[in-house]
Order: sequence, then structure tokens, then C-alpha cells
Amino acid sequence: MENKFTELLYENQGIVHKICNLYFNNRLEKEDYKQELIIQLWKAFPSFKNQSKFSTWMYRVCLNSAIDIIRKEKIHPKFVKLENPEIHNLFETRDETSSNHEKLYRIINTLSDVDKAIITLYLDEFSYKEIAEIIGISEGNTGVKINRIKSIISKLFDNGNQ
Amino acid sequence: METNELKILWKTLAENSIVDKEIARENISRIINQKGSGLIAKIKKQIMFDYIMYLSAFIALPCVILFLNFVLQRPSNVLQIVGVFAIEFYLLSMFLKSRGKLKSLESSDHTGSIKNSLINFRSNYLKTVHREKSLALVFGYFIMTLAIVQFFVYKGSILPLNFSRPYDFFPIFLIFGMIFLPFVMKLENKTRYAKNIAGIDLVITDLTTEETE
Repeated sequence: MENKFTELLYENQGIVHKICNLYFNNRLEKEDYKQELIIQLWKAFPSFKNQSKFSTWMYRVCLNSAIDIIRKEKIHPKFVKLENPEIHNLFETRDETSSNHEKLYRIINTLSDVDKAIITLYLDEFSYKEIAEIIGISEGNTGVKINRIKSIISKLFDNGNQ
Repeated sequence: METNELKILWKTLAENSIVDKEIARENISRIINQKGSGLIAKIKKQIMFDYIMYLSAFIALPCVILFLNFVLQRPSNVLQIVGVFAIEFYLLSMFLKSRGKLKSLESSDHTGSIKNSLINFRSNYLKTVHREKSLALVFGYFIMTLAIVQFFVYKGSILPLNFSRPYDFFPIFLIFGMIFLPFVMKLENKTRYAKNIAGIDLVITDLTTEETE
């Protein structure tokens, strides 16, 4: 089981990096958060029954774990790591594309934890049905929420370009 | 900005910038096999230190006092009794706080939907808070009753209390403490937990309410 898990995680590790950067980008010791996500994935792995794609299952567990860690940190504020301004700077080059990337990243980071999860899944081409299942809301509500988040992003993005 | 533009930007962002440091296979294996690794385990270790320290001090203090009384062949005076019980109550409340923190860090099920996880988290958190409150009440009453008994044992008789000395007010003060303890606990819980619960409630309400265009 361990070998199978290691292999699947190795192939899909982009999800761990992505969730970690989205939820814990401003934290010191980001590696600790990655480790925590991997541990949570390993703990949950027995529940993976091949009923969905591994990446879908992995997104579900990673998003849940990330939101759970944030909740726990809010309850135990003395353990929240201090913000490190240097870590904000993921993009070293300053051409127009990287500036747009940075802007998009910053805008997504201003969203609530759940909205962040919804838009990440949407941008990663998950269907409304899959997003609805992961978040625990109806498909109709998913559509409405996505439109709302998209319009917030567009507005903030266009404002930033003006 | 169009949806497609957004998706393309996101895709290049994911491909170029997000994977900042690849995790090797052997590291995955090491992380999952290493006991006590991970953020929550580290936080737990720190809280566990407080937990053991407060519990040990809570148990050790009366033993040390009794031992000293035995060695010196001298019973405690009322001032010492008051001091010891005040310290004991402080240690107890700190111990219970650490216990509550440890409980709230217990691992949750992350395989369900985000909404269900939040609902479960909320319910477990409330259970922990309730358990902490009940334990504090039981121990609080136990300590205060013990303190009253100790006082009268020291005094040698139950009555009369002539209130000519300040320490004669001690049992009265404790009885008031017993009456007000539940209210103090309620107020303390409100300031400590209400904000956390309100935040979770807001998210759950947002997910439960059907949005319209």
C-alpha cells in the first residue's frame, strides 16, 4: 500500500504544492505544511477505493486538510507562523506575464477559504458536479458561486490593470 | 477578463511557478513513516509539554505541602491554605485549557465534503468546550469544598465564625465563588470560543444557503 501511495502522490504532487501555495503562501516553514498535507493524505488513503480519480480524491483531502489546519491555527493563535514578506515574492521576473500571474495569485489569496477551493477546482477543469461533491453544495449553487467569484476576480484584475 | 483567459493564466501559473520544490519518492516515504512529523504533531508536542507540566504541578503541590507539614510537624495556617488552593485552581484551569487544545487538535476526517468536515469540526469543537467546562466545574467545586473542609479542620470547629479576623471570611468567599463559578465559566467561554464558532457558523451558513444570480 505504501508503494502505491508513494507512486500516486509522486505523480500528483503538484496538487500538494498548489494547495500549499494557495493557503499557506504567507507562512514561514511552508515545508511543515506540505508534510502535514502528505500525512493527512496518508491517513486518509485507506478510504481511497478507486471510485474517483486519485487527483480528485487528493484535491478533496488536501483542501479539507488545509481548511482544517487554518481553523486549528485560528483556535491556537500563538502557533500561527509570522508572515514572511519575502515568501510573497514567488515570481522573480517582472515581465507582463509574471506580473499577471502574481496579480491573479494575490487576488485568489484575498478570497475566503471555501471560495478559494471552489475557484481552484474550477480553474483546474473540474466539472460542476465534482466541485459540488467536494464542497458539499448543490450543482446549481456551485454555478452561482463560480460566477460570483469569477466576476470578483475579473473586476479586481481589470481594476489592477487600469 | 474572460474565463478562458483566466484558465490559461492559471494553467501557466500552475506549470511554471507553483511546483517550487519537487518532493522525492524517498522523502514521501520518510514523511509518512516518521513519527511525530507534520505541523499538527509539532503543535501537539508543545501543548503536551504544558499539559504534563500543569498536571504534575497540580498533583505535586499538595503532596509537597503535606510532606512539609509532616516533616515540620506544623499544620498549615489559613493564609497558606488560601494560597495553595488559589494556585491549585490556576494550575487546574491551565491544565484543562491544554487538554481542550489537545482535544481540538485531534485529527478529523478529511475524506468527506468540505461542508461536512466543517460541520463535524464545529460539533467536535463544541463537545470539547463543553467537556472542558464540565470538568472545570466539577474540579472547581471539589477544590472549593476541600478548601472549606480544610478551613474548619484547621479551625477545629464549625461554629462560631465571629468574623473578627479577615480569614473568617474565607468560607463565605468560597461559597460565593461556588455560586458564581458557572457564570464566570460561561463568560470565559464566551470570550474564548464565541469568535471561533461564529467564524465557522458563517461559512456553514454560506454553504447551506442557496445563492441566486
